[in-house]
Amino acid sequence: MNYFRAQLKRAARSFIPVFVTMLALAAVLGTVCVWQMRSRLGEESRQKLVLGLVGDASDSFFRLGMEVIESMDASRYSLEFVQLKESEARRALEDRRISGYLRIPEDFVESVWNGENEKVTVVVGSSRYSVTTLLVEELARVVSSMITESQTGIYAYTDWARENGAEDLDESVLRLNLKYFDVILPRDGIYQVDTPDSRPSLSLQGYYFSALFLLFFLFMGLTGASFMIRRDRSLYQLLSARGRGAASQVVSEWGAWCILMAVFFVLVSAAAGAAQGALSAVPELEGLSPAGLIRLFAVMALMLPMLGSLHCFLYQITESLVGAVLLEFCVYLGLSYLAGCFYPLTFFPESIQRASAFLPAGTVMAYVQALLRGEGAAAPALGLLAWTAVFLCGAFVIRRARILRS
Amino acid sequence: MATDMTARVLGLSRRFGKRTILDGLSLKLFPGTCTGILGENGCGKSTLLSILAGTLRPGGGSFLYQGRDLLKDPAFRQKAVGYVPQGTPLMDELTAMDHLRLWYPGKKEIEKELEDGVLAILGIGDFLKVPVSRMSGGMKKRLSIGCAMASHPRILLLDEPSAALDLICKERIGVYLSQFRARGGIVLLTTHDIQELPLCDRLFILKKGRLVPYEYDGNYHRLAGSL
Repeated sequence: MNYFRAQLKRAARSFIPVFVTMLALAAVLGTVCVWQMRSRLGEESRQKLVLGLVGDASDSFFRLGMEVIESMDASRYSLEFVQLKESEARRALEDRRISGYLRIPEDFVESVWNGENEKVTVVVGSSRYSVTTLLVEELARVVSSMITESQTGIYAYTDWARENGAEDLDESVLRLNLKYFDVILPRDGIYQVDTPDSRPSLSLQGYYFSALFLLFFLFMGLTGASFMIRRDRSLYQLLSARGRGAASQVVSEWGAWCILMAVFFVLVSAAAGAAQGALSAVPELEGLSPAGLIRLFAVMALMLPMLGSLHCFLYQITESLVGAVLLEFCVYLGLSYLAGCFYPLTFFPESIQRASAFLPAGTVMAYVQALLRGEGAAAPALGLLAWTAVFLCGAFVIRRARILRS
Repeated sequence: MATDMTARVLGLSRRFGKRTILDGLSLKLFPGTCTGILGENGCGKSTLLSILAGTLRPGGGSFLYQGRDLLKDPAFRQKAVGYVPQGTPLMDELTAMDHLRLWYPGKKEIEKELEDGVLAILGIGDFLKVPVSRMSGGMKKRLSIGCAMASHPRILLLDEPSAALDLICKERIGVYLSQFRARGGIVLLTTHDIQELPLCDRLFILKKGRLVPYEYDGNYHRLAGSL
């Protein structure tokens, strides 16, 4: 039996303790997630957002609508609309002076009257999920709802006409309804969301799907303490004396740990797939066949070698169990915070957003989100491979120093 | 022929920063003998064994056996030298059998050794399926020695072999070392334990990076004063 197989045996025998710890971790993560969602909703109620208007917004009905939305006290948002040219709006969006802008087509209101399906385009600052996206989606839902539910008005008119002596209303109402169905109902999706970088935006559920997977497998490192911490370096020295050097030792331990992570990845993915509601809540996964889902999860698993190498590396740094767990916890918390797991990344300054894309956890987020959007994930995948190499090299250097230290 | 089987340590040196741990140390290890190294904590006993076992690089010197320098010939060293480090080179989750399978080339060799070889003498068959986490200190040390003997080495390096072991276990290890020497094996051990001194044919005190021969006459106080 070689050292790798010995590590696999250790990993297999660590399964139950790791499983129990992961259950506890899942409970903690679930609690944090619920708390986070609640606190975010609370924060959104205090949001003051400025939206630009580009195009023909001169129509009196349109202006009235905007004023109503601006002065809605019951809204969770405090809104202000400013009229801008498209170039000004783009610049304002880049400078973050506005949260987004509405591009209104020429003669939009007339087109609505005529039953044409012109769409208002909502341009938001980033393809990542943010409060702006949420706001815009909600506003658009409100407008769509106002139009589609105006059918009530038809019946109100019918009642009024009857009360005022109108006759043969049945046929008139029928004609009115037919016209309504023909013209108004297709306009349910009267808006579309766009971003300046023309990348499709990620839904809230998609965003948290990627964040939860990252958090779960990042924090799985905490459960590997007993597997990877070793104060006594005599085994490493003996292996080295027998020709199995630091590189071979680290790769064997990392490989076995990655396989254990992969087992948990399969379990978590299967559990998510089995609980149909969990995956169908993510719009990006809608319409994916079981085979498509399996393919997606299989490609997502590329994050495991990188996270496993990060775990291995951190456990090399300190030989004390308590110190190592504390170190791991602090590093994971910091990395996941900067990756936008707790607050959407768009809330952070531009410089942190840029740096996050190069940090290990940020790379995982970018990778999973690219897969969810159906975009090419080659760049973040290369980032994952690069970080894997960096962490393994770091682990090798420290292990070698421990072997050679007398 | 016996001279050919003598191992020689020549001019071994090692420094850690500005501190000289081994200062051109030389030593002859004769077949069928046990050599003991004494010395105070931190004097370099474990460093000496680590270098001879190949886990630590020396600043200079050589370790000659059968006309080859073991420090420069790792493949031959791995076959010729068995090393039992001071700590516990075992993994808590694995059983004794798992460890034997890690170090021994095949199951047949293990079965043979359990029947009438080193593993039988060390009594490892009694706890083959016990995980290391549930083993006593004595079991762990016996298993470590059993693993070190997997390549049938002619030179056995033991770093404080009986530290914190009970008398029965020490006796068992002592019996095995006697048999190993009787077959012409070379034993080099470091110790703090006066009960191990009778096992040794020769004793040296490691002081200021060099070895000083010592004759133990049963006077513990004189020995302590010499360290």
